[in-house]
Amino acid sequence: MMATPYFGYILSAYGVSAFALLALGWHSWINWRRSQLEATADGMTDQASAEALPTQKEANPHEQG
Amino acid sequence: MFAVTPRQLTRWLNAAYPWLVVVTLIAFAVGLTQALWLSPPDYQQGQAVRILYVHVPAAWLCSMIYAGMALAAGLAIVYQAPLGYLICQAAAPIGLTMTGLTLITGALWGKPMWGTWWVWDARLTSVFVLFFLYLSYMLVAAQGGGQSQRQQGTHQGVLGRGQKIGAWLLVLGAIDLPLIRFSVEWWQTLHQPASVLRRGGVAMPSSMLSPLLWMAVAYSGYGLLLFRWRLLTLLRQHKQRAASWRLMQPPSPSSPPPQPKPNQDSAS
Repeated sequence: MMATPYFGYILSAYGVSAFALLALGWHSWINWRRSQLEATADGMTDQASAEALPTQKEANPHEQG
Repeated sequence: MFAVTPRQLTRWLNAAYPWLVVVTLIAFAVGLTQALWLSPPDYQQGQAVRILYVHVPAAWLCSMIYAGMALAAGLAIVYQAPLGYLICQAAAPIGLTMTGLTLITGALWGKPMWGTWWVWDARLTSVFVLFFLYLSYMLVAAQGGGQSQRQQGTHQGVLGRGQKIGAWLLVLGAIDLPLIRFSVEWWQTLHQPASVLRRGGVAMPSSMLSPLLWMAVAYSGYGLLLFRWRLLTLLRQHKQRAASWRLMQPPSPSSPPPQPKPNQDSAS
């Protein structure tokens, strides 16, 4: 494998890609998991979080008039 | 009308979650096996063609994610739907990472094939601009202040003015997408024209198309997993910020006290 032409370039491309994707994945997952544990302790589910976010004009009651 | 409600989107993301995990793992396993071992070297590029199996999926995704964000931002502006702003905020780091990977892996392929890490041709420059569009949006959207007194306590106030300015930036920056797509046709570029998404069919043997498509599925599935985690986190943070603001306010005599609502849905 080491004798493969362009081995260093291929290893760098796959290495950088794996590192970046795993780092972003870890950051996203750990924040989600932490917020999920906190929310579960408060009795708030994903659906309850979603319900808290209104759509359209409900979001801006002051701007309707 | 902003057809998808936060509740519906959360339900879809939760329902798709186990399938996404399975499909992404299978696609990465098959895609990486084919990309690194089973696919043949190219008759011109030799083994360096293997770099394209991580470069091209990232390049496809960085444009598609931006297109989705620009659409969500446009809907958020028109219909004043906070969900659109949160979708953009959740997707931006994923798009930025994909764009960065496109540039880095492209340079790693360009050095042995073109003899240079970088040239300022139309395709490379337009993707470089996309990277700074993502970065600019994230910096602007992170500025939460600026809401007026009357907006405070509303969901718009919790989101902040930076989100709104960032959404406009996304919509205006969408002009870069056709430039990226058609740059290799409109101008003479060192970057080769499209081999898969082109008129006249795919100009690639199936032994090379297969790992490319498997990796594209893997990247897309992984991107959706990241998006789910980030959006659900943002929804919870949003609710906590709104709730903490309301706790600090004296009760209004005109509005009835909030009634506690039992949670009937189960967590994912």
